[in-house]
Amino acid sequence: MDLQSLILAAIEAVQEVAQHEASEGVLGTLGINWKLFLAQLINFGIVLFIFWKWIVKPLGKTLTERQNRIEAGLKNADLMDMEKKKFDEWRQAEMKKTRTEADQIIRTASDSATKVKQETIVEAHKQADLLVSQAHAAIAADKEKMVSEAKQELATLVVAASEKILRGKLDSRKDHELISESLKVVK
Amino acid sequence: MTITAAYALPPLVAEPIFHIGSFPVTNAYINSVIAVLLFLVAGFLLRKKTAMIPKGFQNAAEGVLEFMLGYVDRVTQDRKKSLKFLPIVGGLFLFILVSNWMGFIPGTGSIGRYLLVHGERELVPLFRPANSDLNMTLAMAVFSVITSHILGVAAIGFFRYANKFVKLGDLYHSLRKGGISIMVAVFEFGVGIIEIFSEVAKMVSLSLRLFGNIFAGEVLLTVIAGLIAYFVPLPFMLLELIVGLVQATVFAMLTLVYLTMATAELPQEAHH
Repeated sequence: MDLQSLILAAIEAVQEVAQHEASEGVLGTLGINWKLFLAQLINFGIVLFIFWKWIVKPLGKTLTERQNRIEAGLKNADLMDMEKKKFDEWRQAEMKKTRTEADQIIRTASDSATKVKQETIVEAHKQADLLVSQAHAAIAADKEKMVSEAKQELATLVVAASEKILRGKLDSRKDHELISESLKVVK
Repeated sequence: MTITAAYALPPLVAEPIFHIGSFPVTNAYINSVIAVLLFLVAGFLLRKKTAMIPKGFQNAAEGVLEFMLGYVDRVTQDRKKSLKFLPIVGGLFLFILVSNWMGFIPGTGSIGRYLLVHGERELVPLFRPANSDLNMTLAMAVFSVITSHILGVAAIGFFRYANKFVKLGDLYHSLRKGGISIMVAVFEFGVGIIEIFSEVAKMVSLSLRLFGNIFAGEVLLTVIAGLIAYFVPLPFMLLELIVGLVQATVFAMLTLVYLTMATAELPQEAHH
């Protein structure tokens, strides 16, 4: 179809419209027909009804519900954050307190242990000293007794030996003198 | 039905393909019914989809819904009002958009029946964009304007709403006050009467704007495709895609503005 035939078609269309207008008036020319108008209105009404009832209503409800849930979720998350922060602070404080208490307990235990140790050492020293002094005393007593007994034994032995040696040669006077002298030497 | 490539200019009026009784089933009406069926399928798929973690189609639908809600919020500045208006405004937007873009489906304008038109055997396309029929756009425009009035009355009461157009209340107050305020009230009464006409103008402008844009797009694409069939129409098709989106947005936004204005509380007058 070339340009010329298009122009001819346009002229034809304009002539047709002019004829229409002359016969049917403006509304008829524009194609207004009350039956079609009503039918189109009903069609549009159906579309609006479907859009409202089946699309906007359920989806709008879902959108609102989702928005509410998201808002609630965000609020909850904020609340949880705050709770967590509070809990962390409480935990830190508790840890600090516990650590201090533990330090205190350890210190007290250490002090007690040191004290007990000191006391035990002192006591042991005391016991040892006591034992040593008792031993010293016993040894001294034993020594004294032994010396005394040895002296006694020796004197008896000296007397017996001297008697044996001098019995024949000495008279009683000489014997007596010898004994005295021997005793002096011993003493 | 015959499949053929035809480049005749689309007529201003949607052509009847067949009749049910005295009701003429036009090609634009067929497209509008197909759009309704598409919505029916979408609605049927989405009506039970209320998963908290959305997937697939529900996710996409929610995305579109939230996007539209954001736009509506910007005009109404009130989430409650937005949720109330969304079914109307969103429905209008999606229906117009789907109808407009359906015109790009191959076969629209080219698949048709040979019928007797004005005594001649012509190919009448089976499908024609629903919004290139003034009945469709006028139906939506009338619905929008009437709904805005109904919601306006429901929001602020019948007498206060009626006072926006027939300002008898203001006139009465000004008579009690006297002086220059009577003059102001008389002028405002006149303005109120003009407002009534502007309501009619709203319907006419809404419907003709959409119809004109979509119909002109169809004519443009037919002419370009008639001149050079391959590749050259592509930029024009892209343009028409944008026009389809823009016109859907304009229609929906204007309706939203009418709804918001109609349900807005009246400003406190000086003499109250």
